[in-house]
Amino acid sequence: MSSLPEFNELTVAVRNLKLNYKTNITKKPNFKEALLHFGRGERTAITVEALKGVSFDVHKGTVLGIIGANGAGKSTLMKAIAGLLPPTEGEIEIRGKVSAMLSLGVGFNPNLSGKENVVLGGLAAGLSRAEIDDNFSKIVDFAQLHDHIEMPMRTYSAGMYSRLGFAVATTINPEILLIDEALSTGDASFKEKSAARISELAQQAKTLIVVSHALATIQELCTDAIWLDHGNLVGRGSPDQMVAAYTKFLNVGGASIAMEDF
Amino acid sequence: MSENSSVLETESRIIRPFRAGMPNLRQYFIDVRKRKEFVLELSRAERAEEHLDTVFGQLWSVLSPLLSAGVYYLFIFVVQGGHQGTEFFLHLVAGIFIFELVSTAGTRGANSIVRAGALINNTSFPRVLLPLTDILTAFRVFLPAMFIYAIFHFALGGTLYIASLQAIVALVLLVMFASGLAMFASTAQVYFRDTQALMPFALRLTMFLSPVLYFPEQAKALLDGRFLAVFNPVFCMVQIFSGSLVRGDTFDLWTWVLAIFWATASLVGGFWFLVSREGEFAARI
Repeated sequence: MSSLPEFNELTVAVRNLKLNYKTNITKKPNFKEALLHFGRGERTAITVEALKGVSFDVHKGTVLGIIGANGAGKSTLMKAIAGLLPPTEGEIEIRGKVSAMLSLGVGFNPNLSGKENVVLGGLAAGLSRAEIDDNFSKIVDFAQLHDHIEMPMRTYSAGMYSRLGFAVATTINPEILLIDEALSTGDASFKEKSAARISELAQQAKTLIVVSHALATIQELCTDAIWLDHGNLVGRGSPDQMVAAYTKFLNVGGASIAMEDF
Repeated sequence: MSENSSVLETESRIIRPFRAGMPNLRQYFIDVRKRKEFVLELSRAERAEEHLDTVFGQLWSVLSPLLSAGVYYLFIFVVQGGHQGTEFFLHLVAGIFIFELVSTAGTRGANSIVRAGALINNTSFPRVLLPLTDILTAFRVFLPAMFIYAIFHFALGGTLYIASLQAIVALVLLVMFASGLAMFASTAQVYFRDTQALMPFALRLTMFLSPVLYFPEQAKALLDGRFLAVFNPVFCMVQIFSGSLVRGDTFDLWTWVLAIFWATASLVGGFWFLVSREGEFAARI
């Protein structure tokens, strides 16, 4: 019980977060398209108001699920917490090491081997070579890649990418772990293994923030949930409450496709 | 990339909006310094991937500009109707080699950020490290070329001048210029994905307007080359590099001022352009 106060400690505080970003609306962002649009007096980029004043706190040991429709701002919120997109207004307080598994996680150069990508990803994230070397065999074991780790990542399947990304993100001992739609790939046994790892991390008073369209995943893994809609926080509560409210809002019912996966 | 950005930092930090579009530069440079191993490792891995770390790979990287020098020499021989002398050949080789450094840095660097899209969308780190990696790679590829130049220089009767030391300063200035170019081009590539395809044309034009295929005093157009010396950013740097190395030339203050001005302007301008835009990269790539 002595660890109870630790579990109440704040790790992430999002305060009145507004985030706008510009994105291309042209088919291909190049000079030709820009000139053609300029000639017609059209713009090539639009400003998206992705988050419109979101506030919430997350404490140690919490597995927070984020649900919402496409375009709700879930991935933008994760990128902001990971430090990838700067806020337009408001602030995010982070207490502890953050590790993220957003988009593909690792593998930024498919021509390099899995090992080289793990090392480079770790060095880019600020880890020392010694820290990476210490954890490397654990990463390979968890990802079940064995000899494949020396092969170029272009030869990997989507599941192998996902396994390696999850293994890297969870093995480097983060205090805060961000996972965006990364659990939907991989086979059933790996999903089970990753769910066990998530529970283990939560028991160790780590903070996890999970984005998933698979509502069953949110209900199964998370201890808390928030619901985003068009950049606004529309609800916070237990995963069951939020999923029920969200499915009612969608009017798709509990057995809909939103519940599938995991 | 944000003022408190580095992922995996243990201390508490607050991520706030950038001021005037720029992150906290002090923290930014600390993050850059902390990740120098990333630059070394990425450059090593990419050179290994392209076999540039092997003897034959390095020979091939030298052979390409050397063949270019041969082709240009033949072309000039035909046009001028005779030999231009060994001094001119050495000037041509030195110019082509040094331009290859700028060219490799510019074209490789242009794709450095878009190429690392998955890393950009997952990990917070100073994005300037990516074009800097390509500068390091281009520099490592350039070094064997200078060894080959030295063989030509002494085999063709060239001597070593005290003034040749100026070439080292010119090389530093050219690396500064190339770094700025790579930062600018890599950022432009995020917005216009055909930037890299346009780079060879821009670089070839710059080479023709620089004293590579001719001695600086042979430039007759545009006020006897004086216009080019002021408005072509690399003109004076190439002039100092080649002139001091091949003929032991010394240069007036104005030539040095122009070389230092353009090298600094490119480095500072390219850095500012990249850092002021890098907050958008994760949304644009």
